Amino acid sequence: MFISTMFKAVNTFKCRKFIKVKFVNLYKNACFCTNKSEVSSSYEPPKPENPFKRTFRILGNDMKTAKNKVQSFITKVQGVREVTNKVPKSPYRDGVFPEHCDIAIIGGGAMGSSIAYWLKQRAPNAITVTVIEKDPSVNQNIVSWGQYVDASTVLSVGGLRQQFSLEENIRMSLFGAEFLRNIKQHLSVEGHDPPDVQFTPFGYLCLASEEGAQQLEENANLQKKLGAKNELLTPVKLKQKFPWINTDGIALGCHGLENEGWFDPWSLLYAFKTKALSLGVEYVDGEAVGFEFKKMPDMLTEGVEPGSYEAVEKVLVKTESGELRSIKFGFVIIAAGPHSARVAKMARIGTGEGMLSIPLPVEPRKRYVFCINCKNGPGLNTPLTIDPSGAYFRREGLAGNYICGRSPLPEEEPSVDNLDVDYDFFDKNVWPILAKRVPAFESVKVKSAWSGYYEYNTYDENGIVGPHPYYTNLYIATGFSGHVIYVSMLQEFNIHRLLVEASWK
Amino acid sequence: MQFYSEKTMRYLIQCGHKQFLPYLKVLCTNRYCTEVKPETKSNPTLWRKPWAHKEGEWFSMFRLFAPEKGGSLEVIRILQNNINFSPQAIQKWIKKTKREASILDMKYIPERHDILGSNLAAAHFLVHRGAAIRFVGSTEWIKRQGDEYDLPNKYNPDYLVEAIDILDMKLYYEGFQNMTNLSSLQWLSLQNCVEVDDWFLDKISCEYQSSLEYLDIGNCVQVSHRGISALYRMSKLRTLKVHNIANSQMFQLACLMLEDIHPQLNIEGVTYLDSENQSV
Repeated sequence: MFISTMFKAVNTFKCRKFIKVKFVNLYKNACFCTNKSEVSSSYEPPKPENPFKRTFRILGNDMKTAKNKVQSFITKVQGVREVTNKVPKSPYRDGVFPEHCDIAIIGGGAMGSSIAYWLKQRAPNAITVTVIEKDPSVNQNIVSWGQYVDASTVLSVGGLRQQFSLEENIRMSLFGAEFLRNIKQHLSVEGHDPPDVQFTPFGYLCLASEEGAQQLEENANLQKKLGAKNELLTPVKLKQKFPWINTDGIALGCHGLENEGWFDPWSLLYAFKTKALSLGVEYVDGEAVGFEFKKMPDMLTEGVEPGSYEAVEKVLVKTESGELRSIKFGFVIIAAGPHSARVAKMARIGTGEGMLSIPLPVEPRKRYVFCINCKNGPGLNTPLTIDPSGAYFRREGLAGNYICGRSPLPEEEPSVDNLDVDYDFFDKNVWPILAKRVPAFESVKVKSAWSGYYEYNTYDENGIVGPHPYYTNLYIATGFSGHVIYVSMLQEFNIHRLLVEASWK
Repeated sequence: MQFYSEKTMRYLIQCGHKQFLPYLKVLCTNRYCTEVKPETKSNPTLWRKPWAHKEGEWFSMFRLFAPEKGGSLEVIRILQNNINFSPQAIQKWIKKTKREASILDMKYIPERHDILGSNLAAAHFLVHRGAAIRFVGSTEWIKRQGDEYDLPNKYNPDYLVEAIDILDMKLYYEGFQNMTNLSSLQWLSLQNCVEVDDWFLDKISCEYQSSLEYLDIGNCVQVSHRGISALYRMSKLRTLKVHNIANSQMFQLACLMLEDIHPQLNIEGVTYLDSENQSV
């Protein structure tokens, strides 16, 4: 009798211990696996909230909002004007920090916002999208878009000549033009004014010297084949059309005729963001500082040793108030512009082994844009002119202001620590070329200048879009070196692939 | 039974599918996607296949009937959207559908241009929808009377369009593709066409830059000074009528500058501020 009770006691004790051990391990594994796999940042991931505390907190919040609603209803009925909100308005959609989402987008510039918009456009109620943006008020990327190309049929600035010799780029820009033209239909939100990007239709005039003439002609033909309109001009014709130009050293010019110009990138970004918000995207003001990983030993992928696969599961976000939170996602898209390489490093792209050893070849590069004033400068017929040396200028407004700049040569790359403008650069590198090309620019006055970061793709100066080979749930959309407008088009493919291949398989 | 490889079996089944698919296919209204031609679509993932497709991996015969991709997103979106039956929503929907229908109506039809040549194709396109055309060498305007109009049915090189008057036709940007290659177009009136905006002017200045002499965009309120400055390419333009478009200072400045570059140009419809009121 005694033995049997002892036996029973021992058994139950063992059972309890067994269950406790299993349960605690499960709990630990479910929350975060930092005991084996490390978090790739110096930050300690936030401890998961105690489920009971969380329940009571949410219930408490619900009570408060219910009480608020009742109170405001009562005051409305009574006709009292003042309604004091006891619960402070939370910046988040549901009042709480979004702890999980289907798709997380790191970077909320034009790229990220447009990805969010297109995702929600395709599947408005099926997925939740969260955009993590570290600098919501001033977007540093935008600054470098003074020379925004809208469906450029000619080559882009400076050393990026090959850019629009690519068929994909030309198609992208044509689509971008159509999107902008119909922006009122695409991005209007009820209750707000329809978006107006102030498109100024204006051509691009790309000049080539003897060496570049052949390439220019080929590109022009390719563009014509794809539906972009341009005309090749000899120096004589150039002088006829644009009497202010000095055609020394120019062998050929390509003048884009249609669907080119520039517009206000701020309003485009704002339009994307408002529309995305109205469709249900959550914007989080914070900086992504790390990722959390999850070991998946039963995952089999080509090119990865079986049993060693680790997926990205959560992103650590440092909010504006300094708090460290984590967002669990199903997919993550890195659209962080010039800082994409840094974010990718947090996901071990570049520091890992095998497929993860290749870093994301995107670097921030600083570019200057100068605004000059010239009293007797070229008149209305000034397209954005690109000199063979890479210097460019265009008319800004109607009062004799021009915007100009130049891509520095590789040896003169300015440092990217800050956004200070180097006015010497203008005096040494930009002005002599402009003055030579346009004699009227001999006497100019620099009115202002700014600088910005390009997301420069060191591999081939084109964009990088698509899933990362190692991770099944990490996508990259960056590296466009200033031609970020084409995000409108890009995201179509990006998302199509993403949703069709992955989620809806 | 002969043993086919998995690939050929899948191919055979898909062939069968393709026979029936055109009849079953839901009309794709995916407007945002441009067509990627098969020859330009590269296939970079040839070296990587899903695990089950690799050589030597086992798969069951059922997988042949599994779809390669998932269901259509459009279907999911339509199913998940709450249909809004409020009167405003229905009105909006009606407006939207009407607009889309008229834009579809303006679509470029290559056969029309093949059979008729650009000039006659443009003439047919415009006259059928209510505009008026005048050919080179004639003084009468060809208009639609009821449903009939008098234009040749086959290509005839003698017919060159010289003047177009959009009377009360609603011309959309997409319709311009039907009016390309009109090398003798001298006179164009888009008066009262409210859809005209800066993009239109961009297109006009590209298409007709070497021949257009008269352009009338009165009452086109969506045009701004930016559109006016886009007309710098038109070297032969003599008269530009801009009645009733918003007369801001920028607009007047743009008109002045345009007249600067093209000395033979005369802009009507702009009232310039006199020098006392100018605040520069």
